[in-house]
Amino acid sequence: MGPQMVVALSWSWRRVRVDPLTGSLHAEDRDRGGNAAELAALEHALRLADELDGRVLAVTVGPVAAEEILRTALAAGAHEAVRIDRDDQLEPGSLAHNGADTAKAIASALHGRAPDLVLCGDRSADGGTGTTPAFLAARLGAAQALGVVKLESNGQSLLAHRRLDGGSREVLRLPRPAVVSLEAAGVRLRRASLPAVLAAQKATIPAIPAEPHRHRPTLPARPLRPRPRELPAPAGATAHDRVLELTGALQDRTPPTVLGPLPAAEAVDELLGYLHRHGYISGETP
Amino acid sequence: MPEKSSVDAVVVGAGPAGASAALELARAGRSVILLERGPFPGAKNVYGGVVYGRVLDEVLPGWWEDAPVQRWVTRRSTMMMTPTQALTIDFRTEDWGNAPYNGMTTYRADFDAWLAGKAVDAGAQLVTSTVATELLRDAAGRVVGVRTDRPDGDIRAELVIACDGVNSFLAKQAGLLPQTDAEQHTLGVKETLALPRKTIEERFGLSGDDGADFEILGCTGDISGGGFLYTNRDTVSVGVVLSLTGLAKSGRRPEEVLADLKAHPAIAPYLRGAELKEYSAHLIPEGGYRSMPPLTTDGLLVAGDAAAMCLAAGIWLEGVNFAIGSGLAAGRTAAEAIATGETSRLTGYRKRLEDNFVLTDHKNLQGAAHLVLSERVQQQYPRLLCDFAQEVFTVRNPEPKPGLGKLFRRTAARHGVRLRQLAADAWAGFRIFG
Ligand SMILES: Cc1cc2nc3c(=O)[nH]c(=O)nc-3n(C[C@H](O)[C@H](O)[C@H](O)COP(=O)(O)OP(=O)(O)OC[C@H]3O[C@@H](n4cnc5c(N)ncnc54)[C@H](O)[C@@H]3O)c2cc1C
Repeated sequence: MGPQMVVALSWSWRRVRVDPLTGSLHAEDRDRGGNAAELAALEHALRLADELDGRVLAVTVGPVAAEEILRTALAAGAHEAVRIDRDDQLEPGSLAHNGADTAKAIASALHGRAPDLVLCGDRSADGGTGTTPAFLAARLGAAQALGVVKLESNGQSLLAHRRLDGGSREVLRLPRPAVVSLEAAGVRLRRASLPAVLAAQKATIPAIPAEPHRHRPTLPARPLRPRPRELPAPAGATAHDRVLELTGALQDRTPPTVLGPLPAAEAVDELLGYLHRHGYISGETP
Repeated sequence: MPEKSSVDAVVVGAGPAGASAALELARAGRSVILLERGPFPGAKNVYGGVVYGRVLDEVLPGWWEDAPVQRWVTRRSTMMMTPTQALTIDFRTEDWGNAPYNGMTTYRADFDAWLAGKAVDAGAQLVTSTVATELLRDAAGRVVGVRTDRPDGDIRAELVIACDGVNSFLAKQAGLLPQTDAEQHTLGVKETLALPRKTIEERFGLSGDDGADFEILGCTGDISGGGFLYTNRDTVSVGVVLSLTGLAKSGRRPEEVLADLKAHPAIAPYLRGAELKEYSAHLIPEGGYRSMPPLTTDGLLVAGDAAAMCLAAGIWLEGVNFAIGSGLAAGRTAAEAIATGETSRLTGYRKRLEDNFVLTDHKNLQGAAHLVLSERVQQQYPRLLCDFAQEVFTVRNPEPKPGLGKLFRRTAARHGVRLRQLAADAWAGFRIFG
């Protein structure tokens, strides 16, 4: 039997209007759905399934209307679909924290199944944090590959082509299980046949209840700024000297600190220490 | 194993005509596929903004409870314009703001999706993002279904109802409509402009869910046509309707004509500070009764704009209610024909339309488009009436007030309007509208 794959399709607000005065969010229900990257992920999964005799399960977290995206997946050839029944409110808190909650909902819905691959789009259209795959990987104890533009099999293993900065590419051999975030690059979802569209409309889609979204506070709207420090007035005799003193031009500067290469955890400690020393964060470092 | 695509009827186009036809068929217990090329019904549709819903009373009693209404039209103004003047007949009534209501402004994306939803609730299968590309025929030439642009996309059906709108590709393929007929079409261009709800209410003198509907004559320069301005909750839609041949001859761009209307001193104050949300353009079949194609052929019925059933008669620009009326009639006829197996004889369709407002109104008003689009009604009369109003209301003391009759004759003479011609047009108008 070929790989067991799960494709996570979002039910996002694709266009959100922000009221510049009140900060309130508005979107049309009609404008909800997946995005090109997720549909590309689905297409990759279907191709692998065709080639390796695998199975594709399409999953979404959303209200009944979200069945539409699952029916699209079924019509295109997904073998199964599951909806996790939860309707997130359109408010900054849920958009910002959606990744963790969505991943939790999907992971618990997969309970008992051990997918070889979980495919996601690289980011949803609304929250756009791109964090769902990372949280999913953590919950499933899976490896994670980001920025993937192509998935293929070389007979023994699955290969993920990653896009790196500066036009470079990297090819990863994926361990199983793995969570892969795909970009909408060069692949479009196949056009479903008419009989398949009609059959998908009639398919029963199981719904699994999900915990409601946990309400979490959001960050304040204004960026965090350290308090201004009081400085003595420049003492130079001429305006030119005072400007030089104020701007610090022609003076020796603190050279940039080059740390490392360090392990990630130590690098983070160093960075946090720096921000702390310079007053960007206060109190206990987390 | 996916099912074979074979149904009792296939309806092409999920506009108001198609949704209504599918609703009737589904309610009659027929299997029906409603095909729509857009990603959802109404995604691609353009109109001015007012729907008259009376036609729905019978099929969706109390439709106003859940229809996606923007505003109920309680103010209807007919405006005659010259580049610097405007004479308006302004009518308002509280009655239209109460159930069962007269007209509503609504967005087509909402309205069409809502109406198609009713068909789906009744059992129709809506298939979106799918284009009907061809009629399927049997050896005898009878229409037996449609081909779509999807793989394995043929749908075989007892009957096909073409509701694919103006320029109907299916009616043309069936040989019912000519391939081109610019004379019978106008181009509608429209902008949707955002304004705060409160501003709209202040400027148009509205409150609550009340709405205004302005129909405008004499606003399209030397191109025959007309204009409109409608209020939604927090947008207004403003547009012009232009004769295709006149537009081509003028060498002007349609958006220029619309820009002129927006800048007119009688319109600009309503729109000040508005933000452009959307620009759209669409053809309108304005030929009316005289340009209607045969409405059926063996295995096919045509409804709505596809059968030129949009009523464009100067003070009326109504297409949605006619599309719904004809769609319902087509659906009923099709359901009966399928039940009796008489799918070749579809004469009941025309009879139904003649018995209700669709063909009765079109027949009665058949000369209207010709009259309304005539040079006199388009150019001379608005100028004459605006100048006459100006003369009447200009106070010239110490000169004594002139008699109105004399004033009118003098103004008419100045505009080269012969009173006999005016009387003849008034009589023609009376015969058409009277
Ligand atoms: C600028 C303008 C202003 C107007 N103002 C008003 C107004 O205020 N009030 C009013 O009542 N009427 C108005 N009308 C007229 C009104 O829009 C039409 O008469 C009405 O929409 C006709 O409905 P219909 O269902 O016949 O066609 P449409 O509404 O055009 O619907 C046709 C449907 O068929 C689909 N389709 C087409 N071809 C295919 C295919 N091959 N396969 C699948 N699907 C297909 C289209 O996507 C569309 O959804 C206006 C029109 C215009 C252009």
